[in-house]
Amino acid sequence: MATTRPVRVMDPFAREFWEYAEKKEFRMQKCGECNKLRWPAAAVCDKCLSAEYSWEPLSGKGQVLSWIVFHRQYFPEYPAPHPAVAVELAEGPIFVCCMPDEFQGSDLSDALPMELTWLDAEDRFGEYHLPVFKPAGK
Amino acid sequence: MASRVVEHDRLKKLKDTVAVVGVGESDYVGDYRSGAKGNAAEKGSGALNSYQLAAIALKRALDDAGLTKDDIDGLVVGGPMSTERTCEVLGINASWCVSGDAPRGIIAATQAINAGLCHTVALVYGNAQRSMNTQYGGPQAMGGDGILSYVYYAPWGMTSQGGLYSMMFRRHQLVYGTTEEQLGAVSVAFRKHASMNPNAIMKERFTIEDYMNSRYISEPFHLFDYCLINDGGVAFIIQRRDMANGKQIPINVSGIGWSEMDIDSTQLRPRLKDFYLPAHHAVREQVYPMSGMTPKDIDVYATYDSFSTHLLFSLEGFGFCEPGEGGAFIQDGRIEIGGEIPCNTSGGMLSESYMQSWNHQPELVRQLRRQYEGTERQVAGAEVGQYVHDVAGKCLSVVYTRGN
Ligand SMILES: [Zn+2]
Repeated sequence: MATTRPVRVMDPFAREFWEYAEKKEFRMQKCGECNKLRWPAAAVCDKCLSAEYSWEPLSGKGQVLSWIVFHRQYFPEYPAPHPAVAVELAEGPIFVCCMPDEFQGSDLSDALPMELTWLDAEDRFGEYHLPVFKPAGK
Repeated sequence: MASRVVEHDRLKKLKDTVAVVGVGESDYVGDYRSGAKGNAAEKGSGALNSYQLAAIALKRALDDAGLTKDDIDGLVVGGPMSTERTCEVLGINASWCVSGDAPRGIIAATQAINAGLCHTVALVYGNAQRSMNTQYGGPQAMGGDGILSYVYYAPWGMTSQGGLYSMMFRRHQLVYGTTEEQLGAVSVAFRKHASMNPNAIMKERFTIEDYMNSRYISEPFHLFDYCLINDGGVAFIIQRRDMANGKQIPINVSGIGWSEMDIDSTQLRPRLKDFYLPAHHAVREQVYPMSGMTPKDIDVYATYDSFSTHLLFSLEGFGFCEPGEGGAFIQDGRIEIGGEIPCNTSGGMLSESYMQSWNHQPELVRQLRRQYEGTERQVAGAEVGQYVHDVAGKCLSVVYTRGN
């Protein structure tokens, strides 16, 4: 059974992101006119306002930019303590996420190489795959 | 992006054209202790709603100014209140009325008065946020997708404005070597200031050791890095300068500045890559030349302080010290009353009252009036005050000077 997680923000563009995630494909929108990668998903490019885009496959590589450890519990689905990490993707965007349960905040350091992995998840939109990052090669 | 042009000639014309002539607030301690048996208010237990809190503050600001409600022809409404209901509750058919936080309201009022739309503006705020059980993180976080980063990362367990600022502080630690112990100087200083303020909610002083021993909320942030959550109201009156010859020494609005930094903000790029410094620099280019002041001229300083780090970042951004030097700069009493740059002298939102930019304004005004003369709370000889508002992509500032 998939792990219940706090509900996703959903709109037609986010839905496309999660449809790729269903296939464990980590993609972000790339502007059809100026090529800016945007995250989170949105209707138009914030750089040139073009509505043209494609879903660009990403390498799933990045490095640690920052992290915190929650000691207060905000969500019933995330008992404290639990870390959150900001990963600067090789392609540029910053991706904020959690890590698989076996990793702690103390495993992280500045610019540590990180790689994509997937966790089982479920919310009121259904079961899905949640993209997260973990220390590379661990 | 289009290059930014500061129209100094136009901006300078607004210098000292309006002044703060009256200030008031509700009884923060009583509002906080309005729960059963004098405990902190809980959901539904608050005696006063947001509008009532605002009305109490307005009456006090009018009395302070020696004005009556009939003198008011403009209104700025802050917090969760609507403009329509506020005008109704206060019985004011304003000729100009907008919503906003305190600095946006001050800048808007300065513009409106100069445009001739009104001459005497009441800026009012009431927020029964504690007894309304307003949540700033978790599944019911306020604001919704208005600030998307507050809610977007919920599936990954990431939430709360505190979490976002803590991540920004961690980045500052990684880049510059800033320590938690250095940061602790902020909440220790603000609590010391609150201990001199009868209207402050949290008055008990603590030490750096107490700070370091306090529990983490979102590590590296400790409990004392977080502001309070309480009910309360604040009001102040801004009047056309040539009319401001009433009861109080007018406190001039001598400089204003504003810059947004919202591109890629859900990704946290302005926080983690830039520490919002470009926004600070843009505001600096407005507020200092307009007022004719520099950081060296500021006698008393206040910053939005939902978290302790706002002070660190704004002192770096506005040139009180260089980027990266903030941790060392705030040590040794430099930011305390009696120090080089006394900051948040009422205790701020960390210790006085979480009035979301509103409680800082009456404090700066009273310091420049020298209303605390004869007590340890007065910043000796205060002539120039600055408020810096740096919160979630909005950077604004106001420089006040003591009128004569
Ligand atoms: Zn584009």
